[in-house]
Amino acid sequence: MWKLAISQLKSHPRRYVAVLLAITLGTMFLAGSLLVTSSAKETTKQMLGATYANADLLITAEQDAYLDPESAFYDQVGWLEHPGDLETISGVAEVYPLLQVGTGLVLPEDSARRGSFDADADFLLATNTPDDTSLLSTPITAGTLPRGDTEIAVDTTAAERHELTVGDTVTLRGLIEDDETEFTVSGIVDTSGDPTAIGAMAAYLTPSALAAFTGDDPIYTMGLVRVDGDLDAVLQQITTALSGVATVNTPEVQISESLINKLGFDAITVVLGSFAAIALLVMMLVINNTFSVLVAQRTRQYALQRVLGATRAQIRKSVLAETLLIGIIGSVIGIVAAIGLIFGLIILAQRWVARATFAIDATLLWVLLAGVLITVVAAWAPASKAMRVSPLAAMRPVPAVTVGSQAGIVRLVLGALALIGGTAVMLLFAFHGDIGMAILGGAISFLGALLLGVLFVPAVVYGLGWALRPIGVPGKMAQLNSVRNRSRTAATATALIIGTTLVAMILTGGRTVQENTDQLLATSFPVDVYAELSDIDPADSQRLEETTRAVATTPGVAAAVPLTPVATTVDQGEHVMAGDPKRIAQISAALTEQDAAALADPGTVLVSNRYDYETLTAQTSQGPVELDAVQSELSSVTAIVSTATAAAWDAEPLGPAVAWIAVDDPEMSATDMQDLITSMASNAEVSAGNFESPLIIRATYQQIIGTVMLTVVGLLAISVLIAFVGVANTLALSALERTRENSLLRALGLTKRGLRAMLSWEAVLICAVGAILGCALGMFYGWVGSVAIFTPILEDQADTLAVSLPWAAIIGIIGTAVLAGLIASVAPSHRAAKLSPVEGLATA
Amino acid sequence: MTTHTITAPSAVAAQSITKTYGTDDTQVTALDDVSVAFHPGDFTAIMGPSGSGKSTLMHCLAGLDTVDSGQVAIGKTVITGMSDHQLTILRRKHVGFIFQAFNLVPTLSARDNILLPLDLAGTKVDQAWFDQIIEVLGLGDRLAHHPHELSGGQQQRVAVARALLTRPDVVFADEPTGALDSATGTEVLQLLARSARDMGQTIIMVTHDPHAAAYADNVVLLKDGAIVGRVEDPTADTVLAALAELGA
Repeated sequence: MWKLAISQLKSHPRRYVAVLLAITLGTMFLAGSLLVTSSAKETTKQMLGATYANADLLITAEQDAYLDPESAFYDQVGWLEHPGDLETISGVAEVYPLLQVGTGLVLPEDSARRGSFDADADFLLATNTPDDTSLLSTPITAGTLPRGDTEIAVDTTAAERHELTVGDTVTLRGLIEDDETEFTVSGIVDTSGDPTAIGAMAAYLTPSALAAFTGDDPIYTMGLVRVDGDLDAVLQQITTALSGVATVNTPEVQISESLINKLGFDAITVVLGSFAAIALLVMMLVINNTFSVLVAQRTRQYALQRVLGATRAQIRKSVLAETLLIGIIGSVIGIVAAIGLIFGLIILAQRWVARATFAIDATLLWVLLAGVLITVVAAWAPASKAMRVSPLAAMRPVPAVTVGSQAGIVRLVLGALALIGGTAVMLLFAFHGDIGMAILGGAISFLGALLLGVLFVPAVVYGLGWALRPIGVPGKMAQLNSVRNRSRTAATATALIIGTTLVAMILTGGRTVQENTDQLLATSFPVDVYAELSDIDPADSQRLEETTRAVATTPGVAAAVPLTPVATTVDQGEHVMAGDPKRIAQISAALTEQDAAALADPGTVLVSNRYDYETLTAQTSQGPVELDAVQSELSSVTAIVSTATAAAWDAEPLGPAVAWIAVDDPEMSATDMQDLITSMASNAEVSAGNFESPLIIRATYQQIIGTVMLTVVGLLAISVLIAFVGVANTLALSALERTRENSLLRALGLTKRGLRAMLSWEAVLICAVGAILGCALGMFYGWVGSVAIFTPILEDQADTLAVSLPWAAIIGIIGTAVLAGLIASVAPSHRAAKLSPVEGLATA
Repeated sequence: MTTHTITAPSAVAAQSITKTYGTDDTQVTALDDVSVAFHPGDFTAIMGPSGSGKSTLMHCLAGLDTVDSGQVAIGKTVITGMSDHQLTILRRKHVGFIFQAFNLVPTLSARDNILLPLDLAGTKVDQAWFDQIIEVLGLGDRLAHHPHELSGGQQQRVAVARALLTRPDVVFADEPTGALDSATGTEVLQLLARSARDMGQTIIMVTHDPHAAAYADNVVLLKDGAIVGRVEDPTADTVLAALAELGA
């Protein structure tokens, strides 16, 4: 059986190129996902290993234990100034509870920068010092560890960012209480390689100094142990003492067992794995399609073998051998390529992460198994169907076209049930905000749509094909040829529909989430930037105006308006702000021009659109006043009166004034906004900490959503790529099947260019339909998904969900598909056109 | 494109054409210095044993294959040296084809198959001529059918209609009855003979069947890539005799 299988592969190697490419891409994706995770695990292990390498034993608390301040874990391992019971065990030299506390390292007075902790302090992770420096994860590069409670050792990162040297004075601000403490820098330590603390500045304090920052019940999860006796005996005793609350082991064992599992690598595997699964599904379709065509072409050959005495089982074995070979070759190439790729990337990554390590584990063998199994399974159905032909029937020159078999009916019924049922379940749960069930329903519905593909995909292809008619014979032939084998066309397009549906869904969902988040933020914050003018007497309107003007004249700022709190609403107790309505209308969505005109009437007040009464009573320092209410378009806006209205009361301001600020470019990034705030702060001599901008939150959200979308689309791209390979493959095999017919067309006067155009249009047609149907489905699922996500959020808001369809991206997807169809058709059409009509007509 | 005018009033003419396949050791001379002319309105059969080069001759005359040396002209146009594109355009209007089998495009209806060369050329159909051909060939009620719904004879009649519709300089028929039973085959041959006689259509038919050749006005005999004889006003017997002479 192997002989025949190998001869098949050898005699027509070109026919297998595409299917091999599909298998290679699919298995490469899967193997790559596994390698990324195993390498990341190994890298983390190396980094953690380096961090705790000097400890003899590592104690890691169970979650229940460290969350409970009364837990035995804390009694055993100790608090900062209270040694734990473990220290009494003979052979234990030191137990070092590893406490880390977030503090603020106050910026120098003259710093123009805004801090990462609060306005004028950077985040700094403070850790207690061990008794013995050998337990320290990083070496001391200058000076010494703190010897007293007024000393501090900072890490290289902190030293560089704050330009510190030994002997300098620094101020730490507590997280819990806002008190500040001064320290003298006693030493500088290397930046830690601990991956959980990467990027943060770190410092060491004596346990008693640190205690001032930790609060009463500090939480920590790890302890390091130095042993000067028998390690095994000590391990035994500590394990007993901590049974139920913590695990103890040597660092190597402990890191691999517990820590790694907590870092969520398995989640990465699951996420990447599911994208790989989608790619494998697409790959399966491509393989199935290829073998449908291959064995159909070979029906006569099988019949000949049967006539010559081959049993059906023997032929089946040879086909099995062939698919096994293809599967093994493709999977091995894929796995080797993945190893090469990831290895290369790790080498590259070592420039930035010195300990980046490449790691392979045995799970890669599963990829091989999966690749081979999928190939055999996908090829089996068409192969066994072809082999059912009787020897005599196959010898007759009948073109084999089959539609509507038994299996077809089962499939259509199943598909219809899944589509209708799944869609119903999905919609029902989406409108109740149950995302999990909606996803399940959506998946079933999508599966149904794919199963029904054979029903509607060819119809859509044929329908769209009418658009090609004006092109002439090539267009007409492309249209007719594309629906010649309905199931083949359907399968080819379906492979593409899977990828494009998911891409369109993610883009629609992502865009909708972005827009609605924007909307939510815009309604909660009517202006781009606020500044609290706390240092200025709110009654001093001249200084308020000067400061506001200084803000407004900062480059990048469009306008700024001061508002002063002049009253309190009686029912809500909220401030009523006084400002110039015209100027506010220019910079804020809270006020339209009409509202501003209405506010010009003395005695009117702007209120939120949720305030339903005609009048509003407010308390001023001079007593209550009754105001006519004008509704804003927004739900969450402060009550505003004109300065003239406020002046008539002659009331005292009730607190510091604020400036409402509009920027030139509301789409600016978070970093640009930080810079702008810094320059506004220095221009207006207002502390940067008094500025607040919803744009920063918005930019951050936008960035996160954008990155997630890009990543997901990137991961799906592999599936789409495999689908395009499938298109090229189908076209190549179809062209091969139609050699005679194409030669006839050439003899009758179809030019080479015409023939190429005919095949290209066919590919474009299938790709365009795959993309269009995929986008339509994807936008639908994306819309339902957004409904599911936003229903619970919007329930307590009066707003409705605004679905934004990413039309530009959709056109981009369809355009890409058309282009990819053209590219996919290049090789097959070139090859078909190269054949002379005489040769083609001679081929049986 | 350089065109020369050949003075002889031939529908198709070949002058000293040579065609070889393969290289060195495996070289086969398919056509060896063949010169032949076909008069307008003639129905000529090309005959010869297997491997005599009759198919190659037809392909070279039709512009489907190129010659190594010599010249071929269709009507007043010398096609030797033309590019593939020019040849393709020429075939649409000036050459008709009838093959042994697989004559029709399976996805197109009988009508669309007949109109295919015109559609390719982008020219309008001469409706009167179309109706006349359809009537003569008796295809009136078959035009909407697809090839797989037609019998073998009907399929060949559609191919004949297609070949005649453009009023080409020449129709090439390659074993047109090879896949048909004898009664249907006779019907097709009679049609071809009538086309030549009544419509003045030049027809060149490659065949190995003496009975088929008997319908032609004359027979050209080919052996080992060279013309070795002619039979005027052939009957099956005279053709058989001439072939027997070749074999001897």
